[in-house]
Amino acid sequence: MNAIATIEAMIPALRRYARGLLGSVQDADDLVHDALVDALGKLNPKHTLNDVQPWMFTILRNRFISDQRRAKHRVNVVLDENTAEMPVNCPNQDQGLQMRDLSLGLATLQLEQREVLLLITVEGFTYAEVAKMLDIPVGTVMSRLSRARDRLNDFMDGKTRPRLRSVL
Amino acid sequence: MKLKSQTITDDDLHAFVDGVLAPDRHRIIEAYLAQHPAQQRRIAGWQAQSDELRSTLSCIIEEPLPPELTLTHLLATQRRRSFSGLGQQLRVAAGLLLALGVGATTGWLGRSGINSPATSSNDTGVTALRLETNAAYQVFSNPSISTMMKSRSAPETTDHTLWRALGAKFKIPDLTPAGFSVDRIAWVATTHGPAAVVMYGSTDGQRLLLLVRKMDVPASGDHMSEAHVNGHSQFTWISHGVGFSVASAGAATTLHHIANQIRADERSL
Repeated sequence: MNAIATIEAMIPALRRYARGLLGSVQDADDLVHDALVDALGKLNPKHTLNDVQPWMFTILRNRFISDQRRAKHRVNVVLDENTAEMPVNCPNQDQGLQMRDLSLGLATLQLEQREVLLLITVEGFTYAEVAKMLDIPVGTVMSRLSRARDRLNDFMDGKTRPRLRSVL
Repeated sequence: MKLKSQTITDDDLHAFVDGVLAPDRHRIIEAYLAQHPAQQRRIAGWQAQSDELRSTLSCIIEEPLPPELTLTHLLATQRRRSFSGLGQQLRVAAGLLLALGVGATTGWLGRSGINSPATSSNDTGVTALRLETNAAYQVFSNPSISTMMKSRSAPETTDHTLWRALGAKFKIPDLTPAGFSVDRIAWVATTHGPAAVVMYGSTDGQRLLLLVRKMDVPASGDHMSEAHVNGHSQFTWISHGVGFSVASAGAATTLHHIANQIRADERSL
């Protein structure tokens, strides 16, 4: 498999990560599209198959940050429990309800906590890979992960509720 | 033996949940958790939320991709964007130089006036730098080229100077019938002497780049070689001791036709 084929195979995972960051299906797909166009323009023969995956996630994340700065995408994870957009169109109703709870829970996390939690728990990157992708020490990754997990635990236990505003 | 809690860190607990602990350490954490129910509840929550996140978000992986996220669409978008910046033009020029087997530095003529390296050589480090500097000096200390770099002459007035500076017969091809006009002209300093780079643009945003230099090897027949690199097509040939290479992200058949036309026009000089 070459680098472009690797990127193509990653598109569903990139959509999942973007959905976790943004909450909105359309905003997330726009972000993935822009990141893929960026990546294809920057891809060069030096990229090995092993480093394409974290590199691609880094590009998406950097694009997300720069779009945030330009206010192109507003994070729309939760505004109201009854009107929150479901970032997943699950065929299974139980999963749909589960996603609503998770979406609400993720909204209680700061962006820096949410991205670390998603990259490690859902996308399966190592702590060192996440540190490199976010350009932060491994210790900072671990402390953000701790805060994210404890805060999500508190939410699931009913100790915290999301604030009724956009999280960024 | 009672385990000392201070020997266990949060990092251990995360690594335990994420399944990345070494077996020995895993057993130590299991024993610790058996003695610390509060911590056990805490990481049971972590484990549950991880499982829920993974299982619930797995729906997205199964969703069909929207057309705008397919590779075919994305590569078409990339082609429209390619050739749109000076950096890209430099990379394409470097690619053309590779086709002619040389290393180079560049000096831009016209609007930008930027000097920027675009090296491509088997030599590295100080050796490469020395060769590039030598090539640049040989080219840019040439009075004809130096004069052209200071001027803002219209392309049609520079044919004679280009001819003289290249040391070879050359006329800037008129690609108007194909819908392309000259955007800018640049000098590229190669280890085989100066090369001229002519950049064309069309009204619908397509870019075409022509690189020309005098060759120090004779043409082996009338062969025109074709290549497809980084999303653009490229045709390269030698005619009367002058090497030509054209590149564009447009249709290869169109570029081939343009290349044939350039070759026919240059032969008639």
